[in-house]
Amino acid sequence: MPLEPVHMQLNLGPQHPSTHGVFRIVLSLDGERIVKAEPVLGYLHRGIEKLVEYRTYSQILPMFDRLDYVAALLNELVYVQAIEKLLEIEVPPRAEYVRIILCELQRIASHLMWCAAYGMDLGAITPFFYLLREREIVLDIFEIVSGARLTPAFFRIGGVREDIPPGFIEKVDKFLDMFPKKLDDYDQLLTGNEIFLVRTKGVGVLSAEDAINFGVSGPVLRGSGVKFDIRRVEPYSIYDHFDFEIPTNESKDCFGRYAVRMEEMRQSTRIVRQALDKLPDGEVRAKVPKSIKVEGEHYSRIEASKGELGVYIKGDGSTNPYRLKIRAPAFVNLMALPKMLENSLVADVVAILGSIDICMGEVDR
Amino acid sequence: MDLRIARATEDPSRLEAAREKVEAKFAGQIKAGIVRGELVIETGPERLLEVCGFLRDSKNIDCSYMRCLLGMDLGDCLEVIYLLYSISKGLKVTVRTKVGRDNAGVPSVYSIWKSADWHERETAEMFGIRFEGHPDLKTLLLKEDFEGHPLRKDFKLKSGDSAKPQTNSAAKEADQSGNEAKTEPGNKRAGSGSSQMTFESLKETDNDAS
Amino acid sequence: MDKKTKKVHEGITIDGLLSIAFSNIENLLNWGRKSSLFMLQFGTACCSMEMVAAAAPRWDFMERSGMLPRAAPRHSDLMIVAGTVTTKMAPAVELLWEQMPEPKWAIAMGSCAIGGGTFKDSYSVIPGVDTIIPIDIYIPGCPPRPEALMYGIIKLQEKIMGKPDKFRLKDPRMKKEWI
Repeated sequence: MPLEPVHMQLNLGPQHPSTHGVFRIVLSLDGERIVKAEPVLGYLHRGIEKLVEYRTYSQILPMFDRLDYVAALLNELVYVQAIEKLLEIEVPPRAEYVRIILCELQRIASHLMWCAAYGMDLGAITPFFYLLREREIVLDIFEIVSGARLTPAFFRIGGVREDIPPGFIEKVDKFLDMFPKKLDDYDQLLTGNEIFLVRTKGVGVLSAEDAINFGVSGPVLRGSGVKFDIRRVEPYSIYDHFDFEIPTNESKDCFGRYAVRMEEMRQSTRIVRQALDKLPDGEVRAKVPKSIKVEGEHYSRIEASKGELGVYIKGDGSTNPYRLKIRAPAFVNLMALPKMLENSLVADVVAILGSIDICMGEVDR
Repeated sequence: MDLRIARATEDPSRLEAAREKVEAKFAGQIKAGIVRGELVIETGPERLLEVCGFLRDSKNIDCSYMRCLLGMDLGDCLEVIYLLYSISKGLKVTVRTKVGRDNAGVPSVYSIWKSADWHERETAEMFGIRFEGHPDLKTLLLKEDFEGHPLRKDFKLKSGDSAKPQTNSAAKEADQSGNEAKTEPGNKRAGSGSSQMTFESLKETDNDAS
Repeated sequence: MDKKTKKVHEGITIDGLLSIAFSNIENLLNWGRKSSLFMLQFGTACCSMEMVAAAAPRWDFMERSGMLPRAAPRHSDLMIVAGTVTTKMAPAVELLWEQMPEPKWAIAMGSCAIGGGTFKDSYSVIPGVDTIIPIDIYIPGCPPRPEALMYGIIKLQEKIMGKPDKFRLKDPRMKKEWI
């Protein structure tokens, strides 16, 4: 009588050091091989989309900081951009440049945090300490600008809250001077490391057609060879004034996504350098009515550090939005996880999950 | 699948050409218009799969990428909005479908774009819309035994409309009418309000804690 | 007169001797407990980023104060609840707390863990984690800086030793004292 295998259920529970937040996967295993993986979400569902209907447009802004808490300023950018498009407000040029400088620095900080956590997931504890040292310098820059490290709430509808303080430009200059050399050092830590290569090459393969069908965006899509970046395809703010490359990688696996993110950090330093050189004078906030009333519907999207972050706003002419939907990149990228986990081992789950770069604040909202 | 990347375009002539194509294929059964640089198509639930399949497979429109899927409560009916994008042509397309509030059923587009999987699950639990043909429509973000559909307009939050900052008395009322299983330290509120109010709320705290 | 209160020498009883011995051992044990706390790696939301930053090289608090993060609740005695606790996560938090062996302590970090924070009136957020587990130290902030977390852990260490606070804010209108 042939024996039938019984699959073991393994619960990678909501409390786990490597799940980047409260996220649960229920794995069905045949020995070490994964037969089925079912993600369970909702452990951080705070009901933001319902709460915003009870708040005015200015009160909603700090809630957007808490969505993707690793890269807060990028979330604010998409929100103020959507409202400015609907109200047809023109943002002064100096505010645009300040926004770009802060957003690209935020992208660098987000990728540094990701890389530190990814190294630690795979067992390499050293990159955690080195990369977080640089992230602290970037958070210092945010602190002298807005007063808070993690949740700045600095952007406003029509510009930024106030002008950059003296000492900001020197500090950013100093950071940009020393950062590329440090990145080369960190490359030596992980990129050529044999153990890292064995654990990430050929693991978690996602083809380009699958990636587009799943709606995946950001470094996960670019790591599958598709050169799709919203800053090039649908330039928002003043990104068409800057000269930068879009890194892609043809290997379609975890290593490809890692290489894309490391290169993106270099391109972000290029953009910040150009923005600092061209920073114009002027005011930093446009004239906006005291109580903001919005009418109409619009979907606005930006290239956040994790992918395409979008906001759909419907206003009915009152001070509160009628409907606000947040299209979170980590939520959509995570849908491709069961596909990437096909025919892989239990030890690969952590590597693949880490390479998608999720942040549960925006997955669950 | 065409994997060339084109810049997103709001060029009216290209949008008009796409609109004519869609209207030629589905004459009279849909309504198509150009709003704010996007091609907006309104259709009923019975034509939805055909329209979406056509938008994805046609060589000139080629909407291979679904940006987002959301639901909306319009008061007298519910609406499902599909935001699509064509990577190779740079066209932005929106498809809108209206269904009634009771027994709302819409065919699932999971077979066309796998990206609709979790979006539809979330819309189903938040609005109570049934997506027919979806492989596994169970709750995604809410608890399994959650009652009600939170994003409908008739689902009120416990605190009512809190667009104005809450005073101490409003907070106390909301807390008392809410869960009973709360212990006192959780709903202490210090600072604002008159000292009389603060002292009273603390007096209750002491009585309950002792 | 029973044996315990019998005077062995002037002013000294066996009971007194035992309590001196045990209080010294108790102090020793408490010193051991506070100097090597085993923290449960449990970060829910944004405050967990500041907890990670406290372990990062700039503040390096975890190593300096003798703390070590552990993955399993059975091996840990300190749970820092950093972030919002939702109704779906609450049974898991309770289960984790019950799995931790005694003596154990809990810290509520951030305004979401203390009282629901900015999401207090949501349909799926618990207004404060002290509705499900007993909390020893509250650290306010949104998110609290790593220095605030350090101060909170130092206060917890003082509490473990049984020492009163060196600095207490006494507001005559308030019946409770705030740290």
